Amino acid sequence: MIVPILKIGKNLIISIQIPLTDQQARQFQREVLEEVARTEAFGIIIDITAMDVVDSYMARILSETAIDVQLMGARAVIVGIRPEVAVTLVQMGRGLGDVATALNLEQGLAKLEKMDARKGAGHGS
Amino acid sequence: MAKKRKSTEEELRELHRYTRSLIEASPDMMVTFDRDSLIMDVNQETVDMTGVSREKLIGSPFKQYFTDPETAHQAAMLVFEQEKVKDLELELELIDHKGDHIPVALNASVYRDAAGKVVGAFAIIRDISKRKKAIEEVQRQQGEILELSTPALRVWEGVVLVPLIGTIDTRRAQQVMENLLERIVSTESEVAILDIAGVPTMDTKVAQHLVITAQAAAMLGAKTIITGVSPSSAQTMTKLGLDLSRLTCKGSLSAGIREALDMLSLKVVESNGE
Repeated sequence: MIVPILKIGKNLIISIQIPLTDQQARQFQREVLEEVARTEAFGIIIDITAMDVVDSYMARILSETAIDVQLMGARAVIVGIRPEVAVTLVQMGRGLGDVATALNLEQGLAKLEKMDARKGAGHGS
Repeated sequence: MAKKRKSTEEELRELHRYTRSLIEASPDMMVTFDRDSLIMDVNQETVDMTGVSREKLIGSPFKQYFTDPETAHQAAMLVFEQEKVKDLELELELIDHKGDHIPVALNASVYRDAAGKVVGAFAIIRDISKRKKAIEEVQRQQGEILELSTPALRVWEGVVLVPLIGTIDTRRAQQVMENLLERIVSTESEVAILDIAGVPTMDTKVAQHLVITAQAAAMLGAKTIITGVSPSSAQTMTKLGLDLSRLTCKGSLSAGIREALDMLSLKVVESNGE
């Protein structure tokens, strides 16, 4: 696995610690989706606190992954986007679309929790 | 007249003395150097500033009196290349007789002999340490004003407020955005309120910056509320055709704070007396 995927309860936590090449990013996307399918997770959190630079390709992979996860019936939250990364992405005109984001892992988990409460028990199994 | 009685030779000598005295009296350093950037002539100010005697200065490389000889050499070569340089972009620092580093400005041009052939370069070097200090002071103050003019206040747990007062230019808008994002991170806020009641005019750039700030804040998981939108600002924003659907706007700051508390599922209730 290119990035370790940790399962906590019904959620998966994925923390990207190293910069990924385009090829690695695609592999990452594939592995995350496979893991979501395998574990039937309710939600995933992608933590990018360690990423100083997020290029437009990586941004696309991240938002694509989040949308794919949603299509599979799970929820996705991207956390730990640094202010400078956020500014760069917005200025490039490349936001993350409608993907849910949170400041840190803690708030991300809280956000998933809220989604859980709102959407009822229909997801995750 | 007495002048008429003077011989031509005497007249010439007087003229020479006159021109030379002007050069020597100059409060700016004056130096001439050749194509190898070896000094050919200097004035008194140059001697005073460098603390090197005239005999030693003449014939020595121009560049050796600067903190960064490479740049000085580059500047000297540029003079011959362009034939005239004014307020050169290159930053030069002269080493004075006390060993202090003096920032200087260089104006120079080539000069020619009677046949029009370039003989050397004539440079006027001015001590700009005072000017530079003043500029630095202004820059420092500008930074300070910028810092003071864009506070980001934590008004409630999870709510930061940025009141904008005065005209917003691109630089300040950038500063506001950086400040706000930084505060969102440091206070772990989920809601940011941008109060624009104190902004007299709203233009495209400012409006765009507001949108960008809100988008960037959203990536950090924070919602942005814009408050204090005046009728004229509202008109400008709609006329500009910006996509404001992602922005929550409220007329007054209090309405904004109410909205923020609402977002955090908090409620203010009357205590109904003691």
